[in-house]
Amino acid sequence: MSRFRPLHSHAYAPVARPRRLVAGVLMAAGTLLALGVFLVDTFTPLQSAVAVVYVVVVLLVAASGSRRAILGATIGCLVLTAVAYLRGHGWPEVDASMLRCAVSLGAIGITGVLALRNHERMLTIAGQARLIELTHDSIFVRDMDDVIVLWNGGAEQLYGWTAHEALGRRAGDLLGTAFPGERGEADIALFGAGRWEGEVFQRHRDGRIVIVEARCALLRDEYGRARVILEAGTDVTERRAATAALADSERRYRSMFETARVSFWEEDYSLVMDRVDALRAQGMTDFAAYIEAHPEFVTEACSLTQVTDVNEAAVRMLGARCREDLIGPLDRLLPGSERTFARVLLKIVDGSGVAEGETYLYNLCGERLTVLFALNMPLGPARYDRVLVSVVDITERKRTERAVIAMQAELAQAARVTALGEMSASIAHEVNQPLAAIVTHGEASLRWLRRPEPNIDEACIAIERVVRDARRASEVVHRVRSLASKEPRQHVRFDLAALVEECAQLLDGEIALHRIVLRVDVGRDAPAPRGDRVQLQQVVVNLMANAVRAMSTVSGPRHLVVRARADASDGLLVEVEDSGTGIPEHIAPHLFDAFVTTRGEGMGMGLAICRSTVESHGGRLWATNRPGGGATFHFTLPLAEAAEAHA
Amino acid sequence: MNRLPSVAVTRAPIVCVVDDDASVREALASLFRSVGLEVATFGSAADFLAREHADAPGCLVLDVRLPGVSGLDFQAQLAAMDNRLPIIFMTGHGDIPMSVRAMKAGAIDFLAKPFRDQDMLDAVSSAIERDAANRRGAEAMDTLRAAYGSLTPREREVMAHVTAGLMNKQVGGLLGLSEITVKIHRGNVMRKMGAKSLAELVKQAEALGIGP
Repeated sequence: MSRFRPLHSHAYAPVARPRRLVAGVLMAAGTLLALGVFLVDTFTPLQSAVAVVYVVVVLLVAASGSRRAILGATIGCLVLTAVAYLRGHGWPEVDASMLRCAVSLGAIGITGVLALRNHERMLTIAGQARLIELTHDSIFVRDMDDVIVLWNGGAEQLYGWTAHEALGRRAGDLLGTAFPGERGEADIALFGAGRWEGEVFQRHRDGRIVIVEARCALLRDEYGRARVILEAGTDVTERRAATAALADSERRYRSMFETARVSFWEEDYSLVMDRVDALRAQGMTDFAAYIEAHPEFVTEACSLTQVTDVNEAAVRMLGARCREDLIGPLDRLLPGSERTFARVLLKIVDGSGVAEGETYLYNLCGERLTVLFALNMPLGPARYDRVLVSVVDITERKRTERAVIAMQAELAQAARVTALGEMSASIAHEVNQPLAAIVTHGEASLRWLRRPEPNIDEACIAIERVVRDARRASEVVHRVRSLASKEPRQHVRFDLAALVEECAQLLDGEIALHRIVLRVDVGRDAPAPRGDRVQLQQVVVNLMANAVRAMSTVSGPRHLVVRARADASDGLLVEVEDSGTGIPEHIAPHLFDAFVTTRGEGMGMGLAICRSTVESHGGRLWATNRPGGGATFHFTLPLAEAAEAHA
Repeated sequence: MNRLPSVAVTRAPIVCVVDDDASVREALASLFRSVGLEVATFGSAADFLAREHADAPGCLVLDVRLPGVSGLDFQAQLAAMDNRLPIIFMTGHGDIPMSVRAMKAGAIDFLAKPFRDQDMLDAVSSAIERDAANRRGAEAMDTLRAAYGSLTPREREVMAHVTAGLMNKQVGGLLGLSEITVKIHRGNVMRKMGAKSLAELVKQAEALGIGP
């Protein structure tokens, strides 16, 4: 079905017929009538203005609808009238018949002109009607009795009724129009201002209700009487459904956000992403490398990240009075968690999946919380203003875990001390027995000699035993030393960067607690060392833990740097550098001796063991104070390649 | 009463050394012999218990750390056996709680190895002294018991009442005897017990734990 049919074919011509056929019939009828009139006018002596009937011819042709035909018919009729007159009356002279002829000519001419004007107007209306047809909107017109008098293709589509079915029926019955608001208001607007716009519910032919955005206009005639109401409508059912679904989804999200026991935060990363984009524009390609080289960027990014909304659980978790307390830059709550935040940034910048992990937060009372977080990447490529983060407080769990670990460590330490105590007691006994025997033999021999009659034989026996037991004591000492140095070792090639990373994770809590900025400068291309991984990890952990403790009391920036590089003479050089208190002058010469400690706890075995471990690997361990404060511990390790070459 | 088996007749003091270290045993033996003491050495507590010991005053020089039962436990074991041989402890790693425990349990001394010879000799001599005194006391007690054993049942009754402070007449009244008979019994008791006065008899009764 074509939407391009002219308006009247719907409105005024209930049965559609080819226009050309109608025009042909009208033309034929007009021609026959003109011929009949001409014959009567010419060959009958009728003393009347028969020519006036030509007007009907012009009107008939005009009804066929062609401008050229109207013009032709008018001129033809005028000519025929003139011919008939001249033939009947000869050269004109002023008399009654001439007057009749003039009246006829005038009537024909005026009719032709009017027909042409009417034709033009019809063309305009038809064009407008075509425009109405062209629109996708539904348009129908109802008269003041609510009877539908116009019904376009859009209306057919929207309501399912064809024009044929709709025309002549009452709009109210057909569509069951219902207004969400007061019907009276619409009528008041329509009859007052002549216009009304709004949403109405109407019924489709198949019974379903459609939501229509309707625009109604009241058309009046020249006397101001209301004639028809034009109602244009657009189907917004789906749009409304989508909007409602969206609103519903948003409502559910809100409800989840608000009522969840898990704390939810919405964070805005757009300022950070602007900075990242600016850096990219300046040629930065590897973001991971960039933040490794510029750790201060992470701190800055943290301060640029805004918390835009939090839920009730978050307010409770952070000890805030209301959510407004928490809105603002993220760095207030996340100081000292640069390493974690850097990982999150990497994920966001990559735009990959979900970032999750464990970190530390400070609540508004200044208490440190250990939390698990998961961060959902934004959906769209450029949507960084509403990143949803879920946070679970695991402080208590962690505290318990830590207590367990501490207890285990204490137990292990106690076991070590006990073992050490038992071993030293056993060694002491082993050495003491011969010593006691030696002393007693010596004293006995003196007594034998000092007797009034010295007993040389007994004295000699005793002295021989002194010598024997001294040898025995010396053997014990030798045995203990060889026992200590005969630990079996597993030398393997290992990844130093991974080892340092593990150490950093072990000390993560303390590093965060003391708000230390850790920088690990162990390139992935650094040469691989070879050795007992477990022992060397203890060395690195020990040095890092010492560094952390050395910084725990200093004010000002706390930097811990672990770096490794190939060293021309020594293979691999590893350095652990802190900005702590440095090594006191009186301690320095004995730093690596056993039982030297600057702390109350501990046995002072750490550095002594570290040094012997490194030395047993063929390396060296030494320490220097940094000019700006703090200390650096250096140790060297042979490279895997070199060691393999030697092996 | 559980006595050390008395086989030999020598009365010269003997020092018993119990230490698992042969050198220490030899050194101590040499030291004690150099001052004229007799010495017996043992490698363990079990060794010591397995052997017979001369009935002579002496002492035990004991290492705290012994194979098997420890020195302190051995001390307790001997006490349970009513063996009052004085003990001098030696230790390679003596600590205060251990020495306190040993001294409380009656040890003479607690010497840390290596010790000064004079300290050891002093400790040994005072231990022997104490043992000799113990032994003298024990001998006197034996004599007393033997004397008491020689009394007739009636004489024991009389002794019990007399030493409780009753007059002869009262004793007679109690036992249904005449005062004269009581006097005769009393005379026999004094003679058999070797008591020179009533006061001495009372002491003997106390030592024997006799009462009416």
